[in-house]
Amino acid sequence: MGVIMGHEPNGKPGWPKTVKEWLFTLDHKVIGVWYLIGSIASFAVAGLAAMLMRIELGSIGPDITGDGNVYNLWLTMHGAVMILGFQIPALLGFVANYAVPIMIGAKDMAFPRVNAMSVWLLWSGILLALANLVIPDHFNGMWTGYPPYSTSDAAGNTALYSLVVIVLGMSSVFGAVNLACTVAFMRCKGMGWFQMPMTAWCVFTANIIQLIFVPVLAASVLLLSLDRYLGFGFYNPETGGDVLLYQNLFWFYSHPAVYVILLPFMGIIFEIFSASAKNMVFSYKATVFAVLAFIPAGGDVWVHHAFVAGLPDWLRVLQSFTTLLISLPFGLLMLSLVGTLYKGAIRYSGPMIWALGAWVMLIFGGLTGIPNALSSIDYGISDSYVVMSHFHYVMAVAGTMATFGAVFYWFPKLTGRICNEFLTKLSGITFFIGMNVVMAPLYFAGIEGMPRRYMDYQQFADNPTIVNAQYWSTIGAYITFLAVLLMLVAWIHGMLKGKKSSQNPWGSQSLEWTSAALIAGQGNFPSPVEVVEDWHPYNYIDNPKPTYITVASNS
Amino acid sequence: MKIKSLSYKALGALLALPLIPTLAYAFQMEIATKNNYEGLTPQAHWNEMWSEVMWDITIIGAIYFAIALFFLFRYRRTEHNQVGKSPKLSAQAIIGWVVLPCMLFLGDDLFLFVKAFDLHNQMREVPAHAQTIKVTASMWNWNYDYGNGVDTDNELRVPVGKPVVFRMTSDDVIHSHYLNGYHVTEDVMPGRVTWEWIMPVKVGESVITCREYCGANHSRMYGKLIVMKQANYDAWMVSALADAKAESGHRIASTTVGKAIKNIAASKINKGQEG
Amino acid sequence: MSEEIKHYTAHWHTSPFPMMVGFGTGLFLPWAFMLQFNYEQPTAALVCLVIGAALGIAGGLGWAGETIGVIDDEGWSPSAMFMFIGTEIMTIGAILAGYWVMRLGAPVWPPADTPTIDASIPLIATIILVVSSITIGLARKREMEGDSSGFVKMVLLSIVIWGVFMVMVISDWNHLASEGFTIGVNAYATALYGLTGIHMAHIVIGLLVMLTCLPSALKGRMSFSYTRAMTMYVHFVNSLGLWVLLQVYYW
Ligand code: HEA
Ligand code: HEA
Ligand code: CUA
Ligand SMILES: [Cu+2]
Repeated sequence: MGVIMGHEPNGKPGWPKTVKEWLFTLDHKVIGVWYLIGSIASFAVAGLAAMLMRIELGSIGPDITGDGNVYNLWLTMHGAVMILGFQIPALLGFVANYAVPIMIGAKDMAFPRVNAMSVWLLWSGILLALANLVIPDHFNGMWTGYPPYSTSDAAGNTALYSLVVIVLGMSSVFGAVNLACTVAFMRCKGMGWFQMPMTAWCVFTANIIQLIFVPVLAASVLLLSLDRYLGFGFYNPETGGDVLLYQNLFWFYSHPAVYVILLPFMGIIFEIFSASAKNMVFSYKATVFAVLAFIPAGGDVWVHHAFVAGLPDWLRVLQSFTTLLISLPFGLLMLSLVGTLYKGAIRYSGPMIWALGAWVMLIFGGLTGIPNALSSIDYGISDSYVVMSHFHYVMAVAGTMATFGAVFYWFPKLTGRICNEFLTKLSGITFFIGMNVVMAPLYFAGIEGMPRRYMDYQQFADNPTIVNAQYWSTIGAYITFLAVLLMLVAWIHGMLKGKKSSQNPWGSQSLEWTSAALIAGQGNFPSPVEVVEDWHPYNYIDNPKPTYITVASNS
Repeated sequence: MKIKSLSYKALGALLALPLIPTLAYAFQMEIATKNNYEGLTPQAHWNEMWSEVMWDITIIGAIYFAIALFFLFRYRRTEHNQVGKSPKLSAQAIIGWVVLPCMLFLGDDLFLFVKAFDLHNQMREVPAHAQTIKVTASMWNWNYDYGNGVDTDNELRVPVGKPVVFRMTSDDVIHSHYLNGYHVTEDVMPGRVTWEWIMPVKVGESVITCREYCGANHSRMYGKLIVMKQANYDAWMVSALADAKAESGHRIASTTVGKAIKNIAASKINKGQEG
Repeated sequence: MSEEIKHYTAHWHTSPFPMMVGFGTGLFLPWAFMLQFNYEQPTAALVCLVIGAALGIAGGLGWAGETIGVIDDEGWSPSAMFMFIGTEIMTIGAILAGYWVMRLGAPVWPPADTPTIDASIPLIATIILVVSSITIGLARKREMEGDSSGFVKMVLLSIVIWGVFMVMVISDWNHLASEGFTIGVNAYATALYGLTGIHMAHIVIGLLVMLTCLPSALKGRMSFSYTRAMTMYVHFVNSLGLWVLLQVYYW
């Protein structure tokens, strides 16, 4: 392919050098890095909260706190920050902003200023959320914030919760509009919709879901604050309101939200699989349609989070069925993932290990969603550790491994260097083992009846399954902690001492690897890219090369 | 070309075979009616269904991983410049790879759904002769009202062999009444009456816990379900009735631990209203 | 034209304004709300409100100043606005859903303790409001003719119309409140103040949007695509006003 830009990472400027250029940046790559920093910081904080929770839960009785409010603060922070501060910004912020524009051959996002505003809104939201740890009257109503608890004084600062969600929602909506326009209008010359990388498709679809559903979440939490502070009565049964309205509105967004997380990391797994196996994505077009199918399929299943909330029986049964139907598009994606390996030439690179771990846990987590989806089975396991284990498998293990896999995968573009392969693999495998030791025992504890959001479980003291599961789970959390440290070491080492990367270390066909390894400025490509109709990001056999349209230099 | 797409079709047709018995089973299954559960309690039915679901997803997972592991091993990159050689799929092949798997997945979904629906019907239809107990939740207490002036806190006594239905509401925030071993959970909230029912068949004790987050002492909001022989139950009820008479007028108010919620006026909620 | 991003330049473009808007609205305004309502610290709340509003407005003006008529925009703003309005419709839809749940679930409507509500002032206010759709359309026409002072006049006229609407609605609220029909009285009050209030919030945002394009227009700089998007928003807020009127007062 030849070096196109002549900007190998040879000490030439890669990132902005001045504080002003960093802070006031309008460039999507720098903004993407801001998203990444924000989300990794969130992960660290929320992960440390998880460590505290695990230590507390390791044995019966108060270990490090006897105060329910303190535990509930940790748990609220853990759930909310992991989802809203880590997963969504890492995927729809970092991946969407950093990688997608380069992957589709664009020079930037469609609205660079809106993009900058979105990232600062995100940071505002994260700062607000972290303030919860230090303010008096902290909010402890969990990430779901159900009224009437959350509209009572016992919940603490409800306004903080509503506003964090609204600010992050604004950030998401502006980001989503921006990305949708970018994908729609700024694909490079000649790139048709069906020549887009899977990551671009998945992020695009996830953003469409955001556009449709985030506003409903924002409205639902807005009404919480209106109720609590201004005396409105939307959720107050005494003045004709309904406590269940909140749950319907909340889950109307927050179920699709799990696909907002799922799809981009699925896209990353596709990306890494295809590049590692040097193979076409299996039945690419059908896969794209399966991705799009998540928009309608995810929209009419929210009641499965409220199977035991006193809603009418017919609604439970109906949405139990619609929930099961999600196994169709999901199954097609899984099929396509394994099909991508078929007759491939798989190289087990560092990112591939992370992606493999993500993929295995994805199947685990997806399949454990099935019992939850059966309304009558859910009567026995709702709000128990079974559910907790299910969503940690999909989100905290699969999602997190794919997200960090993406960081390892695009590390050469970010820094011009490659992380040490051994450290990458070691941290990946440790993380995988650690999280399995955390979550597998808890599944069995859940079957025995262990409910969620408990700081203590003395009522189950004579149940050895639960007691042992909690113990082993805490051990697993230490292993995970170690894995995260190893990963951070791998990144820092890679950043400072890593091997200089060639332009296309993974041998991918996607456009981002036709630009210099470390892009040294704004605009991404030396001149506009053009691809022909036969070009495909996953064609490894006879792909026509992308060309560069020469424009008269006038700078 | 032709032969290739034909062979895909043939392969697809084979894949559709398992669908036939699945669908046939799903549609022929008799939807059980209310009282047609000779000896099969809801909890036993639930356990049965649970192990079926577990088998189902384990088998799916195992098949998938068998294939995946084989591919991961078989298609390792052995030479430096090797690239993947997956066949270019014809349009029919792509459709085949979409429609047939979807049919299979749908078949399994239907199979599970119909069985779960059957269980749902059993769990959501109260036998006519069930005894009613009113449950009132508050932070952080379970109050059981037997309807005859007797009420208990965090201790529920029922006679063995008789179905019991709980009519539940809450004084303050949302709680969730979970009876361990009976696999029933139902949220309890202000402004509504929700219900669940159980069929106790074994004498003994089990744990009742709260399953919806309700504040600082959520994890301490638990009680005991005591299933008693009919005779013991009757004896207990007689003495409890006598106690209740003695304390007439002094109906023991639900003990409320910790901070009370100020902007939810508990008293206004019609406590005993049914349905 | 001056700032068009060249493909591949080692020069980084910067602008402080998006950050001002982001932190102003994302950090200071929330603090103002929390300090006022949760911590009951009006002075601190006021300080945060002033800082937040100043950052937001200054950021918006600066932003408009360095983009409208300066950067060759590619005309994507209307598409973006289209999507944004879609999300707005979902927000309103969620709140309306709450209203419908309350209303259809209520035994009698309006609830017994509701005074008779005089719908004539809201009706007149809304009719006045809708006139701004015409004036903003004219503004766009002036712009297309290249007449920047005509554009400014028409935008100003729309702003005045919206101002009149705000005054009328607020005085109507005062009137209702003086009859004892305050926010928390019953479900109807929740719906009435909730829906008209949310429409009012849109009016405020729309006013700010219209204001931001004035300074550059006064300097003769206009952006067809920006105005198009702005017009779409104005039409949307107007039809929202009509819809709220029908839902709350005439159903
Ligand atoms: C990324 C996140 C993510 C993803 C992808 C999913 C995916 C799914 N989830 Fe999960 N879920 C969560 C995150 C996620 N979930 C979270 C965070 C919660 C808890 C929220 C809270 O209360 O705090 C939750 C809770 C939750 C509940 C509520 C339980 C309760 O509170 O009582 C339910 C119930 O139906 C459910 C079901 C499902 C189903 C059916 C899927 C499906 O999408 C899975 C489909 C996948 C497969 C089935 C596997 C692959 C398919 C095949 C191999 C094909 C063949 C298979 C069959 C035919 C069965 N989830
Ligand atoms: C993406 C989402 C995500 C992720 C990644 C995780 C990750 C983890 N989660 Fe969590 N979890 C949720 C989302 C997530 N979780 C949600 C939504 C809930 C429900 C909340 C609710 O009920 O409302 C939940 C609830 C939850 C519970 C249930 C508590 C209860 O119900 O009582 C538990 C208990 O074990 C738990 C554990 C863990 C652990 C051990 C990890 C580990 O993977 C964490 C690993 C990370 C670390 C160990 C941090 C390491 C940090 C460093 C090394 C930092 C170094 C320091 C500096 C740089 C300063 N989580
Ligand atoms: Cu009551 Cu939790
Ligand atoms: Cu869900």
